Amino acid sequence: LRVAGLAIAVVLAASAISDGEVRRIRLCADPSNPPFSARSETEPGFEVEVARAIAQTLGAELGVHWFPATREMMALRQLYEERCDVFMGLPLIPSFRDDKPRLLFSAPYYVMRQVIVSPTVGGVHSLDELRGKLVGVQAMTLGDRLVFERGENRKVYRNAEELLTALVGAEVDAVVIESPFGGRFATKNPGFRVVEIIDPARDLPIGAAVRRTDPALKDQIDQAIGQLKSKTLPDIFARYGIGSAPALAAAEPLSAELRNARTTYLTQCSQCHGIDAKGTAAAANLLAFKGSEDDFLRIVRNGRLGTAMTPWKGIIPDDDIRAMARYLKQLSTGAVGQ
Amino acid sequence: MVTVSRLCLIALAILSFTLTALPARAADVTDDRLLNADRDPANWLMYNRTYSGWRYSPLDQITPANITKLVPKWIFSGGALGEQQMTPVVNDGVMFTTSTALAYNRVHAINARTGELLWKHERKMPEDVGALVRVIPHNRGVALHNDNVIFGTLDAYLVALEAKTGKPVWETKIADHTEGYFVSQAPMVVKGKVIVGIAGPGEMGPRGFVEAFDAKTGKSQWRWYSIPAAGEPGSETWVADTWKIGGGAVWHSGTYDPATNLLYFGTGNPAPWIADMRRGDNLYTMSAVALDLDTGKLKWHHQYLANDAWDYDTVAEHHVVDVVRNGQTHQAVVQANKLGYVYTLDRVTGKFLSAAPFVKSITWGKPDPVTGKGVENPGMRPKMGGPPVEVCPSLLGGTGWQPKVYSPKSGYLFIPSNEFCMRYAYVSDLTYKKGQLFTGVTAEHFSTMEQAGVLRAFDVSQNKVVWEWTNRTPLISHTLATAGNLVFQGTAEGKVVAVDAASGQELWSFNLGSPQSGGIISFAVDGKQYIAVVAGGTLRSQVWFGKEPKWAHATKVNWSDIVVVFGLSD
Repeated sequence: LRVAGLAIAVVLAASAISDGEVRRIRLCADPSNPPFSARSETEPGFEVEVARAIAQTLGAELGVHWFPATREMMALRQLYEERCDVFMGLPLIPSFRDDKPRLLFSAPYYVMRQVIVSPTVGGVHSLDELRGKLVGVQAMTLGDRLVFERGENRKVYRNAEELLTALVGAEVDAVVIESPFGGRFATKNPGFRVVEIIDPARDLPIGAAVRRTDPALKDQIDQAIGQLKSKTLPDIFARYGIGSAPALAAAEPLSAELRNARTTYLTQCSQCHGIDAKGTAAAANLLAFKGSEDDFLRIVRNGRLGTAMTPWKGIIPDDDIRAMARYLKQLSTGAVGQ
Repeated sequence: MVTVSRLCLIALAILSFTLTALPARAADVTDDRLLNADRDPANWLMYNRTYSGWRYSPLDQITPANITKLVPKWIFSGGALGEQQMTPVVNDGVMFTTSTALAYNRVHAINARTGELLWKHERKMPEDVGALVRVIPHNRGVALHNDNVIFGTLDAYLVALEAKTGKPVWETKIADHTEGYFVSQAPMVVKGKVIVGIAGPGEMGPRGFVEAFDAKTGKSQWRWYSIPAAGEPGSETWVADTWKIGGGAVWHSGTYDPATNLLYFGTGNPAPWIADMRRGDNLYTMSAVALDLDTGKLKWHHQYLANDAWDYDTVAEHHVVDVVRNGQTHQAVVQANKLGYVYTLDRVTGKFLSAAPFVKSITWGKPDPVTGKGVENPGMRPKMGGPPVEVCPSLLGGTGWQPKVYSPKSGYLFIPSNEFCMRYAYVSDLTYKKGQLFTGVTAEHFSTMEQAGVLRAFDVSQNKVVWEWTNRTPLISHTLATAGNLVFQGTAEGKVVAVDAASGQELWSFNLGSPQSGGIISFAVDGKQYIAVVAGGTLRSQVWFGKEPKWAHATKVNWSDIVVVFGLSD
């Protein structure tokens, strides 16, 4: 299938050239809606970058028709009236799709999630740790609803900008916000941690739309998304701090010793203790370990009798176990990413 | 108590004692009895009951009409804190079970009428076994041959005991346990040969193999490697020296067809799990293989998935079934595996006949309808050090190691299946270190469905699912079909249920108090039918469920290594 996909792309590129002119795909985008789109050379927004990558894969050039998206109907009319060919950033959920009979929707190219943003020091690592904290949210968003449903102390703001300003000013302990806002904020503000809330029920798959009369373009976009999924798209989203690769890890790289310790931890231990080292029902939360490095070494070497914790002596050298203790210490203080 | 000093020389202690005499003299388990096990309804003489791998009991006293009278008759405690994945075997009123922990392999002989312990053999394990054994010490049961009980160990020995007394007869070192080799499967004895596939390689590195031993002496007769050495046919599917640490465990019991004289095995995933580190198709991992019983020579192979990226072992048993399609009968083997499809292959030639999905949660790709080779969806392979990829099924598989069950009465394959996915990533760097896990991944399992565990009845001739029974957690538990029109199914919550074999309607359930994780079998003593259910838990259900909130209730269930035997109330 992968080979077939490439072949299709090659054919498209060839046909574009044989026509004697480069094909042009026009995107409708808001000129001032970062991090989604912006009329800027340096930071055009990830929706524009994704659209450009798709166009490139199809052997086409991307043109942009700038139009404010604040009023949905006006914005979509640009597409209906053929001032552009594609609209990015639309939620692929029935309540949105069902009353847009004039549109065809693509496959999703990313999943928008809710994230918790909090200070690195003393901040929040998980949804459960919001308990007892003051949590900022934007009114009438999925994050607002989530925090309300869990019965946390919640403070409501009118928009994302006000909300994040409140976080910087320590008006709230943490905020729950959409991943594009939270990710962008964290890439620009060192000292804050982003934790994705993994909850399939609250995931928002995001895709593009074209006119219903343009099914060929929809198919081509789907093909392109399929091809870009493994590398190009994750790279774009990583630059905007969206997705699972935390921007903080890059900001404070580990020493070679701790990098090795992380590999050992992830390959030998994470299946039970979790990638985040916070444990599972049958394995301890290692971030809460209170003992010394010697204690850690002794337990890992000998195991814990009567539990699933098995002895590792003779398999993981003592020096590596000690390095792992130091890696977990750093992980627990939030000084490094997972 | 008898201490065998000979074994102390290799730092192993053996404890063996006889408590009472056998209730009645059990007949020897001859080659003929094993070949005709299907015509021996009272007994369950081998892991899958018959060479065909069906796990179907011809006993029919217990039926939908009287199932409400099914009550526990006795409970046996194995006393081990570890994985309990064993399927008991029964010969003339004597049941043989195993219990396993990191410190030992145990074998028990039990009076199948009363649950009374007849003898116990305990073999102490050395401390330098590999990481996989340390994390999931487990054993799936014994083989019977003549007057011996034969089992494999966590330190990669094959051991024969006297069935009447538990006294050691012979033992053979199969491979070096410090490299991570061990035996988890119940051996299968065919025509005087003990057939064993090795566990460990898929997660630990060294090459997998199947080996045959003389059942009388334990001497090796042939060994077939699942990965060809440099220069051998198929070695071109491995880059440089990657074949030396390429995995390909054969950790699940095989099946056998007397008519073709072929053994059918499924092979496991290549190592490490990071596909980029071993480019090429990686033959004969992820394959069905047919081996000549007499010579161990490869007769044919069919690779389900080349260069596996997700730990989707295709080790599940290949049921020997004659499949009728469009009025034509095919001598076939049928395998439902982790990839989420039921594959039908010609068992004489290995030719691919069909593949049909039995789970809905499949995103990795699909088999090519003509060749049967896996065709991947783009973007499903993680990149080293990159973000996790969400891919379905999870590495525990659309169906995992828990055996599938075939009923010749209905032509249904009963599949304990799973609707779940994983967030799956490759670490940024990985080096082979002897004894350590050589996987290189992180994985978290989740399900978008409320009911992740689905017992499915799959009509192998029509190639489609005919009914479903669902459970909240995945079914990392066993299944049994009986001629009494019943299907029994265990759950990680610790239940065993009986459903109507024709409709899937739940008729009966019993709370075992411990995750159902070992075999479910049926046998008869003195003309009365019994159902034996093994419980005790697996790391898979207890720890790997950890990140999915929907399954939290099951992770709270305690582990206890027990066999519960049910019969109709008098």
